[in-house]
Amino acid sequence: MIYLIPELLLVLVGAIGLVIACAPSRERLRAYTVLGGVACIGGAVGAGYLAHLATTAEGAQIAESAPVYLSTTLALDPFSRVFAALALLVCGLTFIFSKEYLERRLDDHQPELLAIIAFASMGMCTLAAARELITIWFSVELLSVCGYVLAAFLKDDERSVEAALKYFILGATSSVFMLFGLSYVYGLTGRLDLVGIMEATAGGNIGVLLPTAAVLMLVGFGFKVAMVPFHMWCPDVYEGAPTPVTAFLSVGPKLAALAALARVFSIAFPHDTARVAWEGVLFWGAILSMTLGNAVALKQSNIKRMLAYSSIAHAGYMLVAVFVTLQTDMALAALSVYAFAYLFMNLGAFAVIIAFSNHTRSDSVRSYNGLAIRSPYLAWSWVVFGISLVGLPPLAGFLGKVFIIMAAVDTGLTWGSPLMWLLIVLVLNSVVSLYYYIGVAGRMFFKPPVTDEPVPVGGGVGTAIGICLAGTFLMVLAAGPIISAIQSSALFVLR
Amino acid sequence: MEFPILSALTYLPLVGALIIICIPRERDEAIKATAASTSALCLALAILAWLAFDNGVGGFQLEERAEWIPQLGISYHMGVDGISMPMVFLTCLVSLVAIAYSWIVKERVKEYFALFLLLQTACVGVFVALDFFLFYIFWEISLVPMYFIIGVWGGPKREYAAIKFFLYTLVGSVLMLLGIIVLYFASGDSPAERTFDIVELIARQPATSLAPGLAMAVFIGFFIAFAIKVPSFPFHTWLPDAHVEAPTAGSVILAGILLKLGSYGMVRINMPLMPEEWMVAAPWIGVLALISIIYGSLAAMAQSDLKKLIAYSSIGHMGFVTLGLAAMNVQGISGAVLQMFSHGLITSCLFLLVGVIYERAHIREINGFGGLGQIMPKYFGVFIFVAMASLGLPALSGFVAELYVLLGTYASGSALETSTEGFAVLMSPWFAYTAIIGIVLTAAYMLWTVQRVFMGEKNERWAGLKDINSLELACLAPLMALTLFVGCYPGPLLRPIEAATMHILGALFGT
Repeated sequence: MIYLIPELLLVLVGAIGLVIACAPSRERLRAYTVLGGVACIGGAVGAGYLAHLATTAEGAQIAESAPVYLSTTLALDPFSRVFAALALLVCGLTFIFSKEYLERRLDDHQPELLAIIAFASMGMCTLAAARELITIWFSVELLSVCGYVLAAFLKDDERSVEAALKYFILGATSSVFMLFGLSYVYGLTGRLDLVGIMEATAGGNIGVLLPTAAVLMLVGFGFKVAMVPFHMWCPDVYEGAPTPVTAFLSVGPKLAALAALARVFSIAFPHDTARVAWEGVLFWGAILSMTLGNAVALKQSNIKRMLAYSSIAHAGYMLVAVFVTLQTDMALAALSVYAFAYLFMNLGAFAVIIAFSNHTRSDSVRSYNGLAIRSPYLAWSWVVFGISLVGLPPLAGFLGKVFIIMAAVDTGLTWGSPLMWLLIVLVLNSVVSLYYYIGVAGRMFFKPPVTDEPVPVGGGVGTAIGICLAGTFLMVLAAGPIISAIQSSALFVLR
Repeated sequence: MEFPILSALTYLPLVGALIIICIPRERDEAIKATAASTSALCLALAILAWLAFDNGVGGFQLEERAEWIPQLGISYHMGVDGISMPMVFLTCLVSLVAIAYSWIVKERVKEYFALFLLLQTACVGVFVALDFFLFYIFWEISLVPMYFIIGVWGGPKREYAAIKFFLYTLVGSVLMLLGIIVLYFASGDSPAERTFDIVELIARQPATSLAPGLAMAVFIGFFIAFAIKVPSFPFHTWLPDAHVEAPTAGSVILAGILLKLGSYGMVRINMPLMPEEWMVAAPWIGVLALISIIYGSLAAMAQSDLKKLIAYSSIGHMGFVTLGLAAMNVQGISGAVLQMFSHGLITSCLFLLVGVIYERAHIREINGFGGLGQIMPKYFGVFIFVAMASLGLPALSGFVAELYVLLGTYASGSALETSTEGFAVLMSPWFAYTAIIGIVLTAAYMLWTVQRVFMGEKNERWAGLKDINSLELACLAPLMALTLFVGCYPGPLLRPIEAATMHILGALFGT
């Protein structure tokens, strides 16, 4: 079953990690980091090809011939393969930029950390592809449990342990809400597959329980996405967790949960009151996430916390695309384009932080003063990622934002409609976000450095920054082919 | 295929910047020489482009077109008409002058020149782009280098000024982005029909198919974006800070070119793309322009910092540009474009002159000087010339431009007969009368400044100041020569501008 290659590759990479963990050595760890990273990035290209293949007639035939146990649990459609490519990319980049961190900051169990990241990425793939409730639940739990362990990896550091505990308690609670919602849906419709749920509720007259169940499920997804008001865990966990893990958590689970949100709610609950309920929650969730995320990020003195809040804001932007899934064909394309852009620019920004803190052991915003003199590569990279995160051209984030705005306008924007205000909130939030991203860049360039000592950039993390830079730049310049691939794949999804 | 001269003109500075990045940090002279020669080559290319350009034709010339993102109707489309051609030339000239003047920079030379060249690419790009996507990209890129130029090489409050500049202009740009996307969706019913091409959009007039409220909202979004850049009252407050804190060459580019991007956007996009809304809004735009003129001049008069005075004078002079555009007739618009060109020359000179004195005295307090005329006679002569150009002395370019604007404004207010043929009556002659007050005020503060700085008792504190040197003179000379040339013989410049203006108005009103 060639469509499962991304998942199988991730399991394989993770399993090798566990084998290496039995007899760890420096050389093996290094080889594992590099080869695993390269394999995953290569696999991402392969997954991109699978996404393309799935849009062709021949590819569709292969998907149809899949065994029943597969085709009923996982949607091996282009949309899910696009997110499988994203998962492999996140995993591969995390491997590569963790290299120096693992060697210098962790004393033992380094291969396990990477292996767990690979397993979590597998959960991303299945969550984005899940087409029935049990698989959704399984994927969410796989992602969550891996996340709890990852957050606690600095086991001698109080903040890391606190982060993990907080993540675990809040995560478990939100999972319970979600499970509760899932059980209601099953009880009301007697179906587990999304299409079945839609068919069972098509007749109308679904009462108040189905919308309630949908909203309960949304709590679980909202927690993974870090949608306001389910974002409380995010800053503490991001601050406490080892930085490569933070980078992974800020991109991986978030994107997978957004993809699942788009798929689950638009397929299972397209009918009146249930739809009104989840769309309403998403509308306000998007507005609050964007506004609160950016507003609070302004005041942060720890750069990891700042990026935590900024990632809440980015989730808000992407929620706008999810919000319009049922109203326009462009929504899923917009979500995918933004997801790619977000992956490159956010992982790039985190890679800069990792490279910096590997040397200085500091995450305070103040310590970035004068970085332009100490390491021009890191400083200019930060400028590029920061500008892209704001959404300025000619970088990836701009393309993502344009796509989201286009998807929203494509719904038939009218004067004074809620969507118009949503868009105005969105663009004004980009302006607010400029202040803190470029504010850090200002520190790097305008303030005198604490010391003149250069900041060396390790080979692994330097390469990861380079890959992210290339992705951030090329997405707009090579936008034609990328967009046609994503657009055609997004059109196939709602089957 | 013809040589893509506009692309070459746009990306040559970028190539220069990339070369500079590859030069080792210590080799200052090589970096400066690369920057200067790249910029000089650009000016030569701009002149070549203008020679290849037919001044008598109104539409776009030297066009380049290529597929870029066909799924979204985005193409790589460049071209110039009689309005953008002079602006491209001005950009290349002022950039070269700014880079030449920057020879005195000693700190972080590599980044400085790379950023200046990037800025030049962005500015030329805005003037030649004919696709909204491309236009917006260049428009936004221009903010980034300016932010760093102000922030790294600026004065004491540079961080505040830099972020204020960036935030202010970004608010406008994001509103414009929304407007662009709304117009894109209004340009066709199916994705295949829609386009980002500015020329195509002007032909289709997508705004007419929008709901009236939405169309006006889009118009206001565009207008705010451009008015912030111009800057027109009440969106001007970033300008004095940015100018005062920016290094001299930064101020020159900011005033000489970046402000023109705003007024260029108005004449290229706001007016032809949404003429009905423009006509509705014209009296209000005219009022804002008048307030800018009077308020800018009064505020300039109240300044004690020489650089701040010039900054406020820019607000006043750019008010004439918006006033001329609001008139929406051939004279008004041509005058406005001429004023853009002329202000680009004159204000660049003024900022250079402020830089010259600040470099020597390290203060800019107008009242701290006095009697400089005896100490620096050459400098005095140059300053008088530029001050006269600024206050609109006949035979210098400012006079011609402002005269045209006033004539256009007056005609726009009194041409009752032509209104039936499409040229709407937008404003009353009183707009023209009021604007004249601004000219008087300009004369007042300029002369008063000259008096306080150069006349009176010789101040012994400044007795040791050296007169203007040959590098500085060489920077100023071409700008001054052009000011004089355009003032005496505006024909060659006005011809393409008028042709382009008539082309735009003809397309709108079918005349």
